Amino acid sequence: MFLAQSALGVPDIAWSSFAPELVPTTAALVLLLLGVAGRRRMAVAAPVGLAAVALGVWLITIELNLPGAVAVVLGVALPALVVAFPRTPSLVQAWGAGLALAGALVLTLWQYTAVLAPVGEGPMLVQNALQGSIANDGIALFTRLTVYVTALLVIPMGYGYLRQRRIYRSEFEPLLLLATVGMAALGTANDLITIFIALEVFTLSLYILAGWARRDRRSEEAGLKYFVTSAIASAVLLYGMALVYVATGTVDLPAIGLTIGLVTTPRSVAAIGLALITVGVAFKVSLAPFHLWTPDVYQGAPTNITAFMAAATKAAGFAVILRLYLVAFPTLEALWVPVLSVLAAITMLYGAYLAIVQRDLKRILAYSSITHAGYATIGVVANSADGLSATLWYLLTYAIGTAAAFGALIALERRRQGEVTFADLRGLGREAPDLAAVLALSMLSLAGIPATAGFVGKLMVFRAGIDAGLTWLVVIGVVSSVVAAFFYLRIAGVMFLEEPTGERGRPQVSTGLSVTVSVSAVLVIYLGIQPQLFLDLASNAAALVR
Amino acid sequence: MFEEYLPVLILAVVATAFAAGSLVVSSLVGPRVPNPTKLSAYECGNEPLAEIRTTRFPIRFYLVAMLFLIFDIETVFLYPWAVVFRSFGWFGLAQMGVFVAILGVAFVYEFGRGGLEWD
Repeated sequence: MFLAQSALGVPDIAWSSFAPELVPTTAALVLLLLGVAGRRRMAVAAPVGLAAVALGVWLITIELNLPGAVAVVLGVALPALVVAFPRTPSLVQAWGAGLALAGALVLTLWQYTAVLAPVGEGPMLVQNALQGSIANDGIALFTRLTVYVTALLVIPMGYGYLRQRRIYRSEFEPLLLLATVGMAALGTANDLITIFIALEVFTLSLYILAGWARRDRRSEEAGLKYFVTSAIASAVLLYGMALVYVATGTVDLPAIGLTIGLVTTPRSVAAIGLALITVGVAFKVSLAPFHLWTPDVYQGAPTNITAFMAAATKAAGFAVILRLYLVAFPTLEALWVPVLSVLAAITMLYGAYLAIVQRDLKRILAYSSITHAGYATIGVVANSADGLSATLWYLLTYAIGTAAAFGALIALERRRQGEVTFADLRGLGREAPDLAAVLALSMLSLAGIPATAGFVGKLMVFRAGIDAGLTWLVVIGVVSSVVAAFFYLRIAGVMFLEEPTGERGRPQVSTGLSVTVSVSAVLVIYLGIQPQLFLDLASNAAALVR
Repeated sequence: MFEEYLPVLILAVVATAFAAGSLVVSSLVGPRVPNPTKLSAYECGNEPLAEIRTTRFPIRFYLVAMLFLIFDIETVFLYPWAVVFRSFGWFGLAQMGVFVAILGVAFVYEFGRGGLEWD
């Protein structure tokens, strides 16, 4: 046999480079099986748990103590959860998913300390793995942190909500986990093919999740609208990628960065590819004028899904934007910086203007998320190390503030069982001071008021923009912030300054919701007052695999 | 660089000319004996049951299609792997095991959700 003798190289797999993603992926598969196992849940949980413990023990014997410990803990926890909640399988799912995400977060931090942490001062190290298709660097670290923290907040937040709306099905947690994995993988993807696959993994899951309340016409519309428009955007993006491949002959982002500036590269083909890619990614992070799907989808999707989409999708989308433009297209700077700057300017003004005239709070937050995409883009077009760390930091603070805001909305929506408008906020400061305080705090953070996390982020982004000479863009950003501050503060004002109208009962706050909302509120304040630890991390994170 | 693509162009022209030529020639010289059987729609030898455009068919076919996809993809990867199985060794066996296991989860899930029960 000729074929059998030709030596195919067995690839050297750097497991540490994607260890955090392995945990939620496995958990998604196991939870999917648990969901259909019925009474035979133990028949699934026991062998899987045993295998995980065995894997963990083996990892500890080869001195990988922390990953081993994670595997052992999760392996023990799975059968324990099945025993602990014999009558409520949904709790097994929620806890299992939460623990898996916590494990992923622990492994992310382990990865940082074991592989990436800088020795002394200076930027962190980078890891280039799997023949260059995965890059572990600052973007990857921050995307993982943001995405996993958001998912960890969203699961307890929506537990009671989904049950009250009677739309809980056991596939919810597996799909959420897969979406999370896709987003985290998008943060590490370093070639066009990995980028596209990661993108599809998370958008496919989100199509289903957006249409999760299928008896609700709004949700159905959200799912369908997101699917149709997003699929077209994916196709445009893919076409752009194909053209870039035609121009450069490689899918590897650093290699594209090296080739694309050469005289031999057909510049027009590369430029058309760049334009199509810009349309595709601008759609995914909803930069105006590619934002039209956002308000309808965010309004129609179940609120906990909206929270996840608004917070985490943004982080993943900007991760890929940063990597594409700063690694693959830096030499075409003269082409994309003006285009993205104009997009950012339109986005900031348009989002802030339309948010003012909305009545539904979910739509307001949707337009607010569009506006914030504009601010984050300032850090991208700055095209500098400062801009990179500013954007990464901005996305983290925005995600936490948004999660807190949507958490408060969930409590209001559960009381009213329908859309939440300003009338529901009237006098909330007297009825439920704690909830009103959290909502007000998240609004202040999104508006960028000092002593909240949002302020530091906005300051860094604007400073990076000015350093890059984009003063006009920063001026527009400040104007947009002032306009946006109006509707953020109006929400806070209505809650505390107006009288409640009629007897409506207290907002329904479950334990999971109050824990997650409190945690995100504490994070908003902590990152606002004591940002130094994460600021250092962000400025060290400005190291890319090139 | 365009010279390299010349054979492709020639092939495209020849293929188009051949296909068009065959149609034209058969329509010119072929005998025409129409009868009811020849004019009816061909459905695997069955009598046509209804107009295709107006017929609703059960959504369960979609599940069968999904099931087909699971095993189709599996085959697509299994064949090339089987050809070079020896040179990949234990590593390849483990990788394919993981792949089949993940597809197996999809299958077990569909089975468990009742996707294989017709009623």
